[in-house]
Amino acid sequence: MARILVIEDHSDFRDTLSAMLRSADHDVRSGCNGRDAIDMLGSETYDLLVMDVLMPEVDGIEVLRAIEKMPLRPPVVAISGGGVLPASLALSLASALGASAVLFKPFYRQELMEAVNQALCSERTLH
Amino acid sequence: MTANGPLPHAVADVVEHIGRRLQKLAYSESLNPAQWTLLRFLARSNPSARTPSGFARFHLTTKSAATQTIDALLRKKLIRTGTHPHDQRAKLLELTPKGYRVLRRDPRNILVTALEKLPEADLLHLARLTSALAHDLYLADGRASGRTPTRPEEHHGTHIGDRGP
Repeated sequence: MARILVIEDHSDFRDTLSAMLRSADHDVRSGCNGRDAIDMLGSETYDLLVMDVLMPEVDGIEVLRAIEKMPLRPPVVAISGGGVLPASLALSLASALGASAVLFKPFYRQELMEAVNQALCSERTLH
Repeated sequence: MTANGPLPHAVADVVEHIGRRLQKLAYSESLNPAQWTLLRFLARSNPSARTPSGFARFHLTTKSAATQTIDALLRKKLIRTGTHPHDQRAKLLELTPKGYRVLRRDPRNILVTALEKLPEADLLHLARLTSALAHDLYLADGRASGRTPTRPEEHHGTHIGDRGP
């Protein structure tokens, strides 16, 4: 079981993501924007961050930049279906900034679980 | 002129030159840049995203433009329609063996090979710099054009984000 932070601005997606991860026996907390992510990662330790890249105000790219120097930065699964940026660029940027796995929307539960397991096993860091 | 003098203009010239060069190289193997993008998309995306609308969102293009690109690659037999491994009702696009062979000759590999020669620390630094540049550029472009992120209209069961960002 891992302690996972889910950051997604759309409440339906956030609830579904959280439910999928809980069904795999993970301990899940969630937030609705990049500011939540930075605050929650600064105050508690997580094993994994699952985050939508494109969100209003503080987006996932800014979160990845902000947490880069955190000593206990968790691995990241970045998610995008496009928006103000093409999904290709959003996820390439997330990978360049250290995301361990990326997922294009739409995806199925099995694909999420594969990405989560890949990220949890990843030892990649950018420190 | 900023405190950095003419350097930002010189770097912008270099970045523009690289972009033009890559665009020119992408007209090879009787393919165009959008068709190469589709081949790469199908090779690296999770299966559920490999649909015409998924490709349109990936490439930030219209569905009709995406359909033209898809039809061209279907005619060239570089891609085919298949069934989703987790949902027999869903029709997905996939590379054919010929498509995989052509993708191994991706003209963009010339840039990838050059990047692979960089020391890891330089490559990571370049990744951070180019990511920051691309991000700022796109956000500035989005603000200038008044574009906003798309919104989800619906999703079904455990299939997340079918029509949303």
